[in-house]
Amino acid sequence: MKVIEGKKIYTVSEVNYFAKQTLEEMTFWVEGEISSFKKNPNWNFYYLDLKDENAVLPCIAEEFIVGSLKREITGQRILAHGNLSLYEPFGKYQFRISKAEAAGEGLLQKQLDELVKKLKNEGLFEKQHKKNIPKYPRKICIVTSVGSDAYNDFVRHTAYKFPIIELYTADVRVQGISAVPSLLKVLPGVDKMGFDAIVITRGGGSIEDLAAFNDEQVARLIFSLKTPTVVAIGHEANESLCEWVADVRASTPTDAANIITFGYQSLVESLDQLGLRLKSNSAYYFSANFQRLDHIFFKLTQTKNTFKDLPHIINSLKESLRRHEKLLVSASQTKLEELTKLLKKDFFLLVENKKQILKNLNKSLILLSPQNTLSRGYSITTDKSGRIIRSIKSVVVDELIGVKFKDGSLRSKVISKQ
Amino acid sequence: MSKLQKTLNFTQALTRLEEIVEKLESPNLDLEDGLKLLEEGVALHKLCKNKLTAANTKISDILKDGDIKDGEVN
Repeated sequence: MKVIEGKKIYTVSEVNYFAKQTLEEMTFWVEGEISSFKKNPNWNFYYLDLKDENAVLPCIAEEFIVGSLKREITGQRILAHGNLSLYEPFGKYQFRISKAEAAGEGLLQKQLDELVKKLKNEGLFEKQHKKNIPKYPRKICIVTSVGSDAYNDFVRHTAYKFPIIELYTADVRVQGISAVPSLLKVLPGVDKMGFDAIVITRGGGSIEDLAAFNDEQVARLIFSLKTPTVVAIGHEANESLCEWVADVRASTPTDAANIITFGYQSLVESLDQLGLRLKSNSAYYFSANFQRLDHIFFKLTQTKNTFKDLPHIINSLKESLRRHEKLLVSASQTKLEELTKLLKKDFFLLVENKKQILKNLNKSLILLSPQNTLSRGYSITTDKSGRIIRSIKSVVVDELIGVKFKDGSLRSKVISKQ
Repeated sequence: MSKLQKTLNFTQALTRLEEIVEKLESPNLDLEDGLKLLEEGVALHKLCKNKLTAANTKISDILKDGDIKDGEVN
């Protein structure tokens, strides 16, 4: 320092030195979001900036401090303890961090992590506690803020698609200070109403927005529900305590809707499949059977072929019959002629024979004739009526009798008989 | 058509029909028997065809009416 014309004049180094001395007396906590972060290439310490809406505070931190932070350094909100300092060569002031911990969301996240760990150790997330969602749920209660996107998404993907689902709504606050009391009040009632499933949902948001669903009391209540429960809080990336204790965790309201309607969707799919199979199978069945019938009809029309030879057979039979007839007739005629010839011949012989017999008979007759007998010396005696007397018994004494000789006859009277 | 034929279902009628065709193809078929079989066969063929056509129409109608609208269960 020098004094010229009554003016105290400091060198730059002195100013920076004094400033440094003064600043370094100031030790405090500061809360801010880490907006940039880099390592000093030569030394094992880091430069980082903490910011709020309006200002930036340059900071330096040693490695162990950085190591205690979440892996994603940039963007996280921290509480930093330390003191201000000044880098004299540049006159640049900075905050030297001696201790750092999560703040804001980071803090909430840390608390949440601890809570998750606690409930997990108690076994609240165990599989054995998970109830199954019925395959075809009919009566569903959605617990959310009516009119929200989450609500609309869910309704669009459940009751609109599958009107068989009776959808009931329990309107609750899903963020702010009344959210937890609202959930604690509504859920036990809903649980007693005999729903097939309860769906608790809300859209995405910051960790503060989702706070009610990371509340221990709410989580324990959801765990104790007797009704199968699906919890879908926030977007894909958000995870909440309530999702851990729920029977089924869904990533989004639409995902929750798909879980609820899964059975129906599969049913529709398999029905569609069956429909297609029905169509193709029946088409096949009919074309096959029509063909079969056509073929059979063709065969039926072929029956005439079975009998097509009949006229021919009949004709040839007729022919052969005619032939046989001729043969038969001519044979008969020949036979008849032969027979006639034979007959003639036989007849002639017969006649000849008879003639001979007759001749012989005639001879005998002539030999035996009465004339012949008389000529041999015999006579014939007759009674008065001219009847030949063959026995003495026919002769009556005193009666007249005739006697015939070869050359004449006489009449005499019977004197006696012996 | 005999009363018996009317009580036959499609498969029974078809089986009988094929039996008839087989008999008709036999070389030792008697004319009267063949005629009777042919008569029965033609009647059965008509019966089968009518049944099949009716069923086909009905199934087409059912499948047309039953087209499932995209993802909807009522």
